[in-house]
Amino acid sequence: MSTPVLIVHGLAKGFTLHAAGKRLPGIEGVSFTAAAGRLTALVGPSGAGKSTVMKCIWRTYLPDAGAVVLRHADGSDDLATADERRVLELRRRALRFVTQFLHVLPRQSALAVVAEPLLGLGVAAGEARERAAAQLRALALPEHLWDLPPATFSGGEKQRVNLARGLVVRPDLLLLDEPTASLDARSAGLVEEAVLAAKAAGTAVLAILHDRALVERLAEEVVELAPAAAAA
Amino acid sequence: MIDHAGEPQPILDAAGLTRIHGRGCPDCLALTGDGPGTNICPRCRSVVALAGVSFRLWPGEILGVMGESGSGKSSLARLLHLDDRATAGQAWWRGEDDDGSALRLDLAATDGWRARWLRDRRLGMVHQNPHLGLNFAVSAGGNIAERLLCAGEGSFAAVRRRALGLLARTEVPRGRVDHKPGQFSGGMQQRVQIARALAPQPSLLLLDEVTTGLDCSVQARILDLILEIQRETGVAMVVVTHDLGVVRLLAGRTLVMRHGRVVESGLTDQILEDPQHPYTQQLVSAAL
Repeated sequence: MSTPVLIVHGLAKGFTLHAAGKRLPGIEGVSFTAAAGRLTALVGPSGAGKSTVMKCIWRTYLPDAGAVVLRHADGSDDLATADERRVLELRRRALRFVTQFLHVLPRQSALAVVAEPLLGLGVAAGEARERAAAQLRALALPEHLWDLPPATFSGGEKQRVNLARGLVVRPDLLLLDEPTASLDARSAGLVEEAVLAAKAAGTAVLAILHDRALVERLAEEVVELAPAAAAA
Repeated sequence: MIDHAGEPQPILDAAGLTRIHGRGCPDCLALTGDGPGTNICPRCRSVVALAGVSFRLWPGEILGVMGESGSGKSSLARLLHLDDRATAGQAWWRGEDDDGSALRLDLAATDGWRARWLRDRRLGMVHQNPHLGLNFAVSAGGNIAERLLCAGEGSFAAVRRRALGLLARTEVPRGRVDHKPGQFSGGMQQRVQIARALAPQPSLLLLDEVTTGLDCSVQARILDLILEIQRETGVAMVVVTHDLGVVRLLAGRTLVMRHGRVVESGLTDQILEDPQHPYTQQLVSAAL
């Protein structure tokens, strides 16, 4: 039994909408762990709070209660309460989030987009480009696309650039939001192989997955979320 | 390594920055702000442009300051650039003197030759209005040269070489270097302003609505350029804007201002996706 990289305990998050005078329920009492080299699947119906859990871990959402402990090469931090600078630092080094959308500056080439997180860690430009190229090659992105901005790419190509950008820093924890959604079979297969490679390299992967067959093939653990009761 | 024995110091540490235009009265702060919903004191009619603004800026960081017209965000930029004086509060800048020794100065209280030295050598400002940031009577190259000469660059050849390098970096074509800013497009004027602001290699760059009023594609090019330059030089930036898209692209952390106060601060993506303050919620929902 490997030690967990991520320990989520008693996580709660709701949303206060001041203009409407409403309190929307989100998640309550969510607890689970994710271990190195294993994929933990978050499953559940729409509205169960899968994305809310992910965004609380990434700290796009401020949790109301609970702990989100990330263990990494330099110690451990509670992401629910860590200060903002620390969260930004951890996002650069230890924690990566691959969403279904790639938000990058319009002029950057695919290779630059993937190399960028390494430059942010102080890796020399030449080495960053080499590692980015190796990552794109592993994801079978055709080499003639490397110098082009991803804005012009197909969905599958974009998603592979996005994944390469997440994997290139070899994070302790990788968050994936439906990594194969809307991809054709071949692209989905390549993404699946990349996820397996990340696990083999020791990354803990937490993924929102809808496809049961995919859960069967990729996940060692399954966390089932149910919708929280509506608040008064 | 995440933990350092010697924790880096903030390049800027602002505490309680307050700026009141007018004679002011003892009730100015209590009678303005988010609760009363105004920045004009009903008792003495003074304008409370800033009240109790505190934040830190770390080396290499881009901090967003977001708010609508009249929120105080440009007052803050002017104050940090020593174009205005605070009524109260401090803004400690940390950096190096000309001889490389450590130096700590309060931007809210520095004047005389030190204020000029800071503006000439350590601070850069890019304005929304290029007429405020550029000398329209001289060429693009001359605009950069002026700054370099103020920063103590003595040799003509070095000034020329460096000016050409800066303008090339901000993508001003070589053939336009001897033209005056009035002959340039809005986007190119802003790129010349950025080159001019960067000329003395400042440690702190203030950007006040630099892409406002430009076409989308021109905006994207300037934002791209700003990020590239930040990566190359490590300059810390305060980006003042009313545009949520600008903070989303540039800033890791963002302050939200209203009626001269910081009503909310946090990670930029958190501010945009999980805003806590009613005003921020209103701003974000109005933009989507």
